[in-house]
Parts: sequence; structure tokens; C-alpha cells
Amino acid sequence: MKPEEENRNTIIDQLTGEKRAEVESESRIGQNSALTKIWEAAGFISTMNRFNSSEAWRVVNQSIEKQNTRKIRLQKAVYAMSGVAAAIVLMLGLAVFTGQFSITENKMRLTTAYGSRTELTLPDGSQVKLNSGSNIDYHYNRVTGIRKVNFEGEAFFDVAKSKKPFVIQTPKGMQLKVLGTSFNLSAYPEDKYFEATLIEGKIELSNANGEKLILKPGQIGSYDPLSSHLVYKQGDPSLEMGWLDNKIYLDNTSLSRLSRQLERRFDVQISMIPASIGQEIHYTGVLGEQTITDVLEALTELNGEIRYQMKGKNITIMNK
Amino acid sequence: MKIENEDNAHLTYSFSDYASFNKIFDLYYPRLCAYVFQITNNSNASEDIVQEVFIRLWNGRERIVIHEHLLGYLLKASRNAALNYLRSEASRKKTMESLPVDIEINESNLLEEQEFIDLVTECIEELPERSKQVFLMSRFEGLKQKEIADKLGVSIKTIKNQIWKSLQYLKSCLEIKEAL
Repeated sequence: MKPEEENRNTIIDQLTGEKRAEVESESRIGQNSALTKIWEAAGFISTMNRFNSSEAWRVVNQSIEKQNTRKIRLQKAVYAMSGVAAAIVLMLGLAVFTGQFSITENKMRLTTAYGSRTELTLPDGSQVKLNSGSNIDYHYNRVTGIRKVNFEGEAFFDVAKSKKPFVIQTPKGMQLKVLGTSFNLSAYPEDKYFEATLIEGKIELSNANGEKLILKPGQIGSYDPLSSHLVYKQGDPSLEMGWLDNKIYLDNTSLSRLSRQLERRFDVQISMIPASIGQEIHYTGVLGEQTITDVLEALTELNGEIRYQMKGKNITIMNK
Repeated sequence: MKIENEDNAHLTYSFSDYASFNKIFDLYYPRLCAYVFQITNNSNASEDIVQEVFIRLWNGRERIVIHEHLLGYLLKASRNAALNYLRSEASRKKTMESLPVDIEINESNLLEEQEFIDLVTECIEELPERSKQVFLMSRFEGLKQKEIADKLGVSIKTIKNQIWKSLQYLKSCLEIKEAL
């Protein structure tokens, strides 16, 4: 072996931890501190890859949410809301209404738990019907008139007409700007893509790179959070809003995507054995069933290959 | 929260809005965890510590004024929290003598180190396919040279060559990037 090659091999063995540094060879690697530095940096990057920020965000978000809702008395919040929403809340009563309010100055937050829905009127007069597992943060600047919303989940918006824009920011960098219109927006962080369906008026979708997509009534815009791509999607707009009349429209929808919808709507947890059936089984049609058991019965009837087990809130779907 | 720093463009984040806070979290969380892990050597504790730093940051957003690079601030806050954790762990286990509280940290190098790590990340991405595969298996998956050789059906000598090639490539890639 050439001395140069031997030297090289020693350095590599030391870095990869296959050989301990001896006194003599320590000086060899010492001359190559640049390589050691690179090797250590790569180790740091490898450690970074072990930590997942989206899972951790869920924990942090929950913890912050808890603090917020503790601080604010519900009564005050209801009082501060506009008459219509207050009336709805009072009519439904607390037992039915499981969303939580908090309001500070011109900010308002509303969260719907899994299994619950609500509708409200925002201080500018816009109406929002909020589907399960959604979160809306509303900022209204009374001076500039700009309405800004941070939103995740699914909702139907009927935005009050104003010359000032109404801007919605979803997780993962999608933005939607409107001037007075109605549309459905689905942007659950755990979903593969987000969708906006326009009924009336005009909206503009954009991503963090400033790319834009303008929707006309009847059009559906789809956003891929991974690539930030915005595209028009073929489809029937009325199907996208099935949740408003308690229906789930399926168009070659995978079992796993459907499961997520069911988890949110009925506040249950669904697992699949083997997990691969989530991607293998697809459904097309309309689910009008109003209880989780009826839905599961329908699903197993439609596909003879599967059965389910239910223990409390935990549901397992498995091969027969 | 006020961020007072004119040099850095991406410091225009304002924490008054939750979405920006979320963005910053996504951007820095794994990095801060890896940094804290170097101190604590405990994954779960590292995650708890960094999450706590972010929660405190959000709760204190009206009071806290940051006079420096946001990442620099977060690194220091995480480090202090990590050291506190080590102290409380040590006193819990009553092993004060083994307490590594003297970890030497050069404040000004904290950010430079992270910038270097970003450059290394970029350069690893640019590695030639074959070298990259071997390098990742060795450094990221922690496989031994022999294990990699067996998996790929080549000799240990080839593995050594590939790792060496990768390191040389990274070195010159870094030289170019650092000169820019």
C-alpha cells in the first residue's frame, strides 16, 4: 500500500469510528481538521433529520391553545361577538357547542373539536361554517379595515363585501385573497392537498413563491403543500361541499383519505391492518349515513374484502 | 415581540401572528433539537426542552425584545434550558461531580457553525449519486464499511474510496461556497 493511501485509510477509519486514534495517527487527522469538521457537521445534519417538526408543532400548538382558552372567560367572548353569532351560540347552548372562543382586541380564535361543527359571524359580517377539527384565527384591523385569517381545517366562507381584501393564510404557505364572495376551503395540515372551491365572486390563490391562481365561480383550485404547486382541479363543486349537508361524496377516494374525514367528523380513531389497504381500497359514491356505525356498515358492504372492529372510539378496519 | 436587527432580511418575521411563529418553528425546530441533543444526549428531553423554549417565546412575545439574529437567540435560549435540565437531572441523581456544566461555548461561533452546517447540507445534496449513497449510508444510517460493502456488493476498498471522494468533493464544494 502506498503511504498516501494508507494515510487516507487511517483517516477514514478514524472518522467512521472503525479504528481508534493512536497517538501517531492523531497527528494525521489533525492535519485534516477540515475533514473532521465536515464529518461532524454531517453528523449534526443526520441528528437533525431525526426530529420531526410537524409532530412537535401539534404538541406546542395544543399547549398554547390550552393556555389561551383558560385565560378567557367564555361569557365575555360571547358578549363581544356580534349579535348573530351570539344568538346561535346561546341557542345551541354549551352542551352542544364544543368550540372554544377566545377574543382579544380585534383578534378572535375559534376551534372546533373532532366530532363538532359550528357557524359564526365574524365582526366584519362575514359568515363562516366551520367543519370538525378546524381552527380559525381572525384579525380585524378597525383602522385599515383589512381582514386577515389564519386558518386550518375546512370551512365554507361567505365573505361580506368590502373594498378591503379578506386574506386567508393556510398552513404550509397557501394564501387566498377575496373581495366578497362565497367559497369552500379545505386545508387540513395532514391532508395531501388543499382545495378551494368557488361558488360566487372571485378569489385569488397564491403560494409562498408568489405564484397565483385565479378562480372563477364553479372552479376548484388545488394546492400541494409539499411542492407548493397550485393547479385547477376537475370536479363537481357541489361535491366539495357535501359536508354542509352531512354527506360525504367519494370520487375514487382512497380508504385512508376517507378515514381521515371520518376521524374528524365522528371524533374516532381509525387504524388499518394491514396499513396498505388504506391506499389499495377506493370508493366512489355518496355516503349519507349519519352515524359512524352506519358508515362502517356501508363501507364493509361496498367492499366485501374488509371487516371492522369497534372499541369505544377506536376502530380497526382489516382484511377478512 | 420586537426583533431589532437590520442586517438580516428574514428577521422581518413578526411574532404577533401565529402563522409566522409556526413558520419559524418549522424552520428551526430540528436544528435546535440536534443542538440540544449534543448537550443532553437524550432525544426525548431535547424535544421537550426545545418545545418549552418555543412556548415561552410565544407567551413572552409582547415583552421579549431580541437584539440579534433570531436563530442565535434561540440557540442560546435552548442551550441555557439544556444546561438547566442537566443541572436538575444531576441533582436528582445526586451526581454533581459528573456534571458537565463547563461546556465551552463560544457565543460568536454559534451562528457561524449553523451557517457551516447549512453549506454542508447544500454540498451533500450536490454529491455525485454513487458517492452520496455511500456517504449517507455511512454517516446518516451509521452503517459500518463492511455492512455498506455487503449491501452494495462491492469491496471495502471501494467504500473507502467513495467516502474519501465524498469528503474531497465536500471540501472543495465548501471552499467555493465559503468564498462566495
